[in-house]
Amino acid sequence: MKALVIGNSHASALQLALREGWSRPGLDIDILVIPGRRQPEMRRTGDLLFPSGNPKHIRSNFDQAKTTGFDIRDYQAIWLIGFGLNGPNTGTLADRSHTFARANHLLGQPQMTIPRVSRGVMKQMIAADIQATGFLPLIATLREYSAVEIYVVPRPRLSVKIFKEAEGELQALFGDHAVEALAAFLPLHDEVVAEIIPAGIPILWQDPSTQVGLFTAPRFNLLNDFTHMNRDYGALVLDSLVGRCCANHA
Amino acid sequence: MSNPYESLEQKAFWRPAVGGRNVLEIENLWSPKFSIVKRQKVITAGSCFAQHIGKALAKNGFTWFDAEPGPVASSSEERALLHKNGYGVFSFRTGNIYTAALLKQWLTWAISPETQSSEIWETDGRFFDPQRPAIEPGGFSSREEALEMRAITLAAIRRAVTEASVFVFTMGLTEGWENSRTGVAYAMCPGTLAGEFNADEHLFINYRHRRIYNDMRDVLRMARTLNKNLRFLLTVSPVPLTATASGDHILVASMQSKSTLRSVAHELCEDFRGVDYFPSYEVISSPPFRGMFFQPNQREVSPKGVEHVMTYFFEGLASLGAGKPARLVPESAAGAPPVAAPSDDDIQCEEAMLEAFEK
Repeated sequence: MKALVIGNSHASALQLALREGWSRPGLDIDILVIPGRRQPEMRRTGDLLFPSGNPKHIRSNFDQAKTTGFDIRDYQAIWLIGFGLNGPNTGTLADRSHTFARANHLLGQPQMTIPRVSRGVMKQMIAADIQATGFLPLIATLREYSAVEIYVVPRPRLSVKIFKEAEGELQALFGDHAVEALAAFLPLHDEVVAEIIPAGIPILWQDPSTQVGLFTAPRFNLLNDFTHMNRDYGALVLDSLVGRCCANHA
Repeated sequence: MSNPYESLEQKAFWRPAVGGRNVLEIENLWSPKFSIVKRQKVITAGSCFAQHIGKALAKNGFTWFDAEPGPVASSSEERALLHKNGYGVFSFRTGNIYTAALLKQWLTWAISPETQSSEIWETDGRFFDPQRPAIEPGGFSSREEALEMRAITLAAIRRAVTEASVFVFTMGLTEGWENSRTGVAYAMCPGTLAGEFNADEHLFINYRHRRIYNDMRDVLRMARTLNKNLRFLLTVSPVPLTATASGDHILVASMQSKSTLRSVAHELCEDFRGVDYFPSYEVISSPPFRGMFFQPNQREVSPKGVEHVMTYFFEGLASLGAGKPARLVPESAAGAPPVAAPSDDDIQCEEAMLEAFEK
């Protein structure tokens, strides 16, 4: 079986795992990591797909794909990694979470915890943010082009360390209300992801064993990067994808 | 023998001030009663035309105060989405406030939330606020959410009125609808944008001069219980009615409505301190301008018209030394506004949706 991983920067965890020797007998994996807020964007020419953007920023284990393109018909499965809010914009997530979670600063009543915007508006904003990435057009292109199996892996939860150690945007913006804000927001985000992905495409949600509450456990952090995860996390995602794919191909 | 007319300025005489001039060079139309400096917070509400004022203020470096901002938009699509949902359109998310009765009701509820109506309309499992049925085009997910979101808006109104230096209110219509049982004023006729019309319960009112005056008087008094220094700048929307339920011809109904509002605005300026009138209505609608600032449908105001109106606005302020911009930034200017001001091409006019019912 041959699978193709396409993703934004969150696909790096899978690339690290592959580099470190993750493998399964009878499975070949090509990987294309296209970092950036609006990625992964692709264009189609005839039977070939080409990654858009600067080839220098694209990481791949089959370099020719950057310039010569690749034929989807060579693969039995496509794994799309990092689906969700637009790229690495922790600030967006922070704003969205906080906006949705609490209106107390607007109301001047600290005890009030009603959301500041409605579920409907927040879902539209999340959907617009996801629409701005390259995932949905890519899915449409793939569907139009072939019947290849597509699996979607949403971006991982932020690291729990982002609140404990980083002097990051979330800490600065949320203060003590970080967890509460995300607790209100994340289920809505997942709801939008589930609604926006076309029917028939499985979503592989983050394994609960990798999480501490609403966050990703610190052992999966990529050094001091609290958004992206390490090879261990990548290996777990690959295990999960192989489990689903193999079950389908068995 | 001398008489009072001998000492009047040129602007008091038709021929030198209007008839003998290029109409685009008419001067001194507005002599503001008070200045507005750039650091002072200005809030805007009312009919569609108020959105132009908020937008022009923001683009020209004034502090247009958005007391109910939405989430941060990271693209023009997201900004459009927020505007469609009533964010950044007025200083709080009420949607259009066409009548003085509705403004009074919003302010009353903002000051005393316990007096608000709990009436919410349900259509196909979605919930609409009768005081702003277009604010979320898809409706709210529950009755509770509709009321929670209204609580946010009421808080935003309180904050806006409390912190602002100037409240620009554009009076739009004399015609409105009320609940005959509760007296609650609606933003639009039930059954048009949302809800279901019930002839036994929903009452058409063409508000008369006295009622509008009294409602506006109450608004001034209530607002000044929150902020005794708040000043009001009134305008009358030059946009004719989309439809009338008065039984009159729409042209006659429009003139009646605008004339009444204009008269009320004048008397409020005369009777209350800190209340001024800006003549946008006159610039767009009066005969010397020959309707040149209307779009071909003779109803909507063209961007050039808005730009011309706002030139008078900023020139008037400049005459008081109120920080005139080096050059008026027209509405058509490229680039994002310095704050989340009403969008360039997405003026929200709920009343215009009545066109859908024309035969």
